Amino acid sequence: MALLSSFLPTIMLSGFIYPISSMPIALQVITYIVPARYFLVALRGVLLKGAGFAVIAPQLGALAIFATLVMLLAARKLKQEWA
Amino acid sequence: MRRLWYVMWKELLELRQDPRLFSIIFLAPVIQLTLLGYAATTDVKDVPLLIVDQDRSPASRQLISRFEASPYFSIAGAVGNVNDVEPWLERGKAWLALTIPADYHEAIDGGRPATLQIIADGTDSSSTGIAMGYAASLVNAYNQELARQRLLAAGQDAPPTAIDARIRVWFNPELESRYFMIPGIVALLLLVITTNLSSMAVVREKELGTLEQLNVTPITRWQLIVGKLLPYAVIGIIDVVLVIAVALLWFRIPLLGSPVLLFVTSGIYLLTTLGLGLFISTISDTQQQAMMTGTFFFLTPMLYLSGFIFPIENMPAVIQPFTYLIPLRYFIVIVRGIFLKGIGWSVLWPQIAALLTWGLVIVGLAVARSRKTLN
Repeated sequence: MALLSSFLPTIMLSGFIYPISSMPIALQVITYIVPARYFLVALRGVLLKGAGFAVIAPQLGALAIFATLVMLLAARKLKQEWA
Repeated sequence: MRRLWYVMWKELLELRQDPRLFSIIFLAPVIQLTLLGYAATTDVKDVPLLIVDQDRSPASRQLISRFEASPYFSIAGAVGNVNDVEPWLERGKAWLALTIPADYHEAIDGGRPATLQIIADGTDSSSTGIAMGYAASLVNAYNQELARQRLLAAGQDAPPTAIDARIRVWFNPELESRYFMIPGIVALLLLVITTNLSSMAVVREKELGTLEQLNVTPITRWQLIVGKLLPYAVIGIIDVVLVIAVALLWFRIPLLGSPVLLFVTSGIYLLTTLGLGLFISTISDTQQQAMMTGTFFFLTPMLYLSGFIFPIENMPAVIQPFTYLIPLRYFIVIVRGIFLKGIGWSVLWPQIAALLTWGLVIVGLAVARSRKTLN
């Protein structure tokens, strides 16, 4: 069911199809919690613009924070279920 | 008939056990359509523009103010030198950079042609293409205005324009891309939700081991599949009503065609999405497998090949025939046609026939596959 709630939003809110800057401000804020958004910018930067670490550092940082948060959340959930 | 009823009733009772059902049926489609409806716009506005004004004259500032006043651009920043443009484009902080050379005002004042440079980030080629078009037409309009002013200043009358193209836009006069996108999202949401839900139907019995029990009952394959299909059809119809209500009442999409035809075709579409779900269910062994199969082998290719995001006409000729295999392709034409053009049965019957055939074939396949698992 996680799929149901993340499949379409990831595709449509990541900036892959529709430019984020054309979205209403409220929605632009929501796009910050879509990890694909950061990966997409980094990937396009590295592949098409030859960008280095310095350029995509903010994206890498955001992805690292996101990964840490969901891992912690998963670990906590698992602990709760085992207890 | 009574057996069919029992299968239906059993499925409904099972569905009621799922605590997440309410949110999946009622909340997910409404929330997602509301959010995605705002996201799905191919309109390009507020393009971040970097200004490289090497002239710093009243003339250059006047040009910049034109860009500032346009809803299509927002000034992201200003740098003094062309060499400083790269980091802005590289980081995506600006899409376009407008360079005004140092001799700009001299050229304008002296009546000589002035040169501007626009540097564009071509990675998102379609959005950047649109933005460049806006920039070019903005400069063009300003150019004509300057030329007129010059002629008037010289005491001459401005020449009449040679060609005057008058454009009338039909069906969506404001060229709102949202009007075009939302019927498509309606079709897409129905596909994702109903296919995913129904793909659990048969495989759940396999996981619980109750398929063996069904095996010894006198239920036929048809009764099993159709009995499983009908409860999901009820859910699907509720979702159809919900998403169409959101499209009409929240996004104010005009419904020019017949509401009855819209509901009938939605029903046929549900036959294809639910039939597909049941088919996936019969070829999977676990619910997780069903979900993976559905998403990666069916939903993702369907999404990209349906014409919802990328126009089918633009696809390579080799790919185009594959799009005929996708029910979403037909339904998108149908919903967009009924909503925006008000067209009816006489125009849409090939799409409706294709959809119906697809639905009957996939349900037939699901029935055929279910025999193997029942034996």
